[in-house]
Amino acid sequence: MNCDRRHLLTGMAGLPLLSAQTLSAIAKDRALILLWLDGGLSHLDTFDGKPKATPEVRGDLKMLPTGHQDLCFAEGLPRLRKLSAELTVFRSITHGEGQHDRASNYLLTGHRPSPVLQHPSLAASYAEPAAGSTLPAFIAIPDAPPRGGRGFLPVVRSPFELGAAPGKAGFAVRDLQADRGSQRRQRMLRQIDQLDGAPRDGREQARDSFLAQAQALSLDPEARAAFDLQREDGARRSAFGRHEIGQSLLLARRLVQGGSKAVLIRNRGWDHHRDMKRALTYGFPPLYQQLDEGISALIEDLRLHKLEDKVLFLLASEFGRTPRLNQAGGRDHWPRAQTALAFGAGMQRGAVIGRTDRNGTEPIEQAVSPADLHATCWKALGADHAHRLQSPDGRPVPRVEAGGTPIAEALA
Amino acid sequence: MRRTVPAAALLCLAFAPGGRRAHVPDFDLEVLPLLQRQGCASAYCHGSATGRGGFKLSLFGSDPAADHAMIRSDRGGRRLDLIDPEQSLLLRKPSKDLPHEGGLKLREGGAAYSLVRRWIAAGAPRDPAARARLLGLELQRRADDSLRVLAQLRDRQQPVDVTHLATFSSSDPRVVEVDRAGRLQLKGPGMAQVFARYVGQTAGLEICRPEADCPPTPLSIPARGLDRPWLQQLQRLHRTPADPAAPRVLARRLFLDLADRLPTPRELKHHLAQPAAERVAATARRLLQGEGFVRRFGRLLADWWEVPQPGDERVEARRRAAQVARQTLQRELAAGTSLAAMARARLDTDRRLMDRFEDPRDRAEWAGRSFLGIRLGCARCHDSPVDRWRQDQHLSFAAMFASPRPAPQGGMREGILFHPGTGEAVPPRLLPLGGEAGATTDSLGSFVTDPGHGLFYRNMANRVFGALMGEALVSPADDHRLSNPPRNPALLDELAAVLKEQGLRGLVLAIVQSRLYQQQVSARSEQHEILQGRPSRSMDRHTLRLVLQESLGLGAIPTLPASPLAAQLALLNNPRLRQELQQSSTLRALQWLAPDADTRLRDLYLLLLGRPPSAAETRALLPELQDDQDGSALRDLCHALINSRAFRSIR
Repeated sequence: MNCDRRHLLTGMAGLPLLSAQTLSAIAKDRALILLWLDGGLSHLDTFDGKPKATPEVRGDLKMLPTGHQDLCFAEGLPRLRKLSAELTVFRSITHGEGQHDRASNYLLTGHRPSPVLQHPSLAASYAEPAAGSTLPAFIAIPDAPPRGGRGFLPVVRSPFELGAAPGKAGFAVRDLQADRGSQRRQRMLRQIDQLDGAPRDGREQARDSFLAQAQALSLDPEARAAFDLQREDGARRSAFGRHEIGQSLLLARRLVQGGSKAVLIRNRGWDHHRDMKRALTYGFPPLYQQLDEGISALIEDLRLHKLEDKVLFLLASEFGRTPRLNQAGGRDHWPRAQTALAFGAGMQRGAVIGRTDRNGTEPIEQAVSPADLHATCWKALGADHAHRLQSPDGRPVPRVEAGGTPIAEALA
Repeated sequence: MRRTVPAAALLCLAFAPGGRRAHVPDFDLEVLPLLQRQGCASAYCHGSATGRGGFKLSLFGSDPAADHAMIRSDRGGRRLDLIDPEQSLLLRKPSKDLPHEGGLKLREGGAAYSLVRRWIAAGAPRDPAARARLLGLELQRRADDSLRVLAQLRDRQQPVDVTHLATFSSSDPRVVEVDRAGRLQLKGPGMAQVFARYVGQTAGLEICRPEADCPPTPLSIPARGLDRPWLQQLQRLHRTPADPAAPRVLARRLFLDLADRLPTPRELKHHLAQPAAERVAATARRLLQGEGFVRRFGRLLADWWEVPQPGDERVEARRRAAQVARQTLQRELAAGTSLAAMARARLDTDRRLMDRFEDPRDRAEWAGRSFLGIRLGCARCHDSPVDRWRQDQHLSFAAMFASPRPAPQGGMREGILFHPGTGEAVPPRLLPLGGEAGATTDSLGSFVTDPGHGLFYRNMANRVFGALMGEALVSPADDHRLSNPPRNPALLDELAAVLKEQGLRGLVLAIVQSRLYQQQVSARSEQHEILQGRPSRSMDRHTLRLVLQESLGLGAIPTLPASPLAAQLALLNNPRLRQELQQSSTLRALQWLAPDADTRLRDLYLLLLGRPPSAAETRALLPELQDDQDGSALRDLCHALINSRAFRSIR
């Protein structure tokens, strides 16, 4: 019998139970951590600094060269400046959606918003549930933005939303643990459901699968431990920073280590229409510090745990912000130029993609659409961005909208 | 046979206004449909927003003038060679004479190829008035199971065969498939429609495939009512209805659907004590007047009309606005206001729902989805590829929704919408909805709810049916169009008529009294599509919370999270829920008042599942309740029951 890989695969694909989808799920062991800055990150005040621009563009915040190519990061991001040669920086993302909801749709799903179809987000689409892991495949911290969910995929692909913020003191995911006296209840429930017969239809099957997941999670202390930040030593927690972004990233690492396929962190409050300087440098702790500590600690940490080739970290938001400060000293929505950062699995270290003009208004080199960014991420995760999903009305819909092409320079 | 002329020759004759021989193919009516049929103008090819390979066509040929300009004059006219047509890029690329990423689309020397060649040879002309010549489209099925598409042209007496220019689709490929040439391939049993689309128009034809193994069973079909169209369709498919649900199952379904709660054991007893023929109607009439009906249908209406959930709003003012809007709907329902009057109020007097959207186009699309059940959204950017809406109609309808603003001379000026491309004011115009509409155009509200076109009633009837049956007849519910037909068109007509004549409560009463509603749950989803049996539903998280509080006498418990896994975890492990169960007055009463474990088990089952436990259930669970001094076993049983599949499902 001919036993090479191709024969084996085609033979297996012929089996009714193993569709091509499952095969691809088995083949990939990579995970995604997406840090979503809800509101729109100002590219000019963070990762695409223009120290030589006029004060109305530059603002009050100081930008410093990182020493890696011509990258300029904010003064408030010293650790990331040092790590800049490790990152993959997409400086020239550009699109035409200036409204939060529509732009979020584009950046989270890789498809422009369609009035007739809600596409699944990258995280939902990538996180195919795999057998053998008690942790949910797709987890949202603390919840998923409206366009970050399962879209048209079946209900079992919904994110598990923690509903709690890891940055708060006494953080715990609610209702995870079964109480002591629950054995009798569990036994009764099993009997009741058994005597009820088989699930009547697909919807009851979905409910059964959620119950099985919930019970497995409640009764598996090891899987549940992934949600417990107390198990990290204090020094590590402090290295990530005792704040929302840092602790969320630490939790995300624990979750992907425990078997989750995609963790979506939604960090709110980036819609800075007023006083840019105050927004980024005040606060407890300031947003600069949260980004700087959190991301740099994650990079160190992924290395330490030898996860840098397994986990793709992506930082993104819906759009950039206006090159000129407005009268309130803030910046408004600006989809024509924005920056995203990536690190880890499949990405080329130190690649700097594209360049914006002297005021950060629009790309002058290698414009990248959100669809291109998504295609690149799919490729980095080891999957085909053009693979077609079946929409509810029976149309084949590619994972990334037509025209999205992986950027070769960004890929390892 | 009306004609024996071969198709290619026919083509030449067909479109010539006077039937002259030297016919030049028409760009809008022949060349463009041909390219479209080859898939050239699809979103994945040249129809994409940025085109392909520098060549861009409007999506699905919606903008023929732009397409003509693109082909004829873009890049200095390099796509056409008028002197030597075969050298045109427009022919050399799709015939693969030159490399073409899209592959072979026009075979050299084929009929399609020669049509395009003749058009180029004639100077690649375009008649801007050509589209208006198309009056209608008809789809016929030939004896050999192939389709024939006939177009009625204004200046031709005989209809013209455009089969070779039309694109075909099927509403359900499991029942019938149709290939590019319009040949039908009949598949499994069921009902489906096939469609032909040509120059922005669609024609449909119903295909009925009876169950092969089942002999036709004569059903007794009532002379009127909702069951008539349903049973007629089943009979055509050689099917029979599912058995009726057991009386207790039906009672639980009825209470959850009409009153947003479970029946109390007393109500259940009273219900079952009535004669079988009358009990559903009697109970339903009583429930329709209750608070629970207002609560459930108020919530449904708010969801259908896209009122946000107060809990989802982060800004306090918006949270309050959502609350007020939901309360208003409930108040009006309680007062017996008709759905049409409620919709009119949302459009004409109380515009707060509409004003959540700043852009008049968003408002128009919202009104389309919520009240008319149609999706205008596609037409914002291009003529709808699947429906009849054109971009200009979308824009002028949106202009109706522009906010009035203060005029410089004082007073208010009507709202004006400016064309996003040209900057000119767009003349407001109502949508051409067909029917006898047009009589009542004095306000947006009366236009939208006009019985002449009847879309409002069809939309609302479809949604009410969906809420009570688990699946709507038209799905998605906001997408009524010719090419997304209802699963039973005659039934939807009937439902809409009942809603119009008897109002919401009348429609609900008619539905729950039908045999259709009273069928039992069946496992196979393909049966649900023809309404044989019905799907199981699950209580939504709002109903679940209310049911727990009311039936078990619990204090305030948190609403379950929206994330399904988180909701399941809460139901299993939430300490607050556990604590409330400990203090449940209902459970305490059961513990102290019921004489023995047997009664306790029976009463709890009656309370939560609406039926006594089966013998097997009693055997399995009764031992657990013996020697239950502190009531903890009863509590555990109750907790297990509210997590059980049977409790969370509405069957």
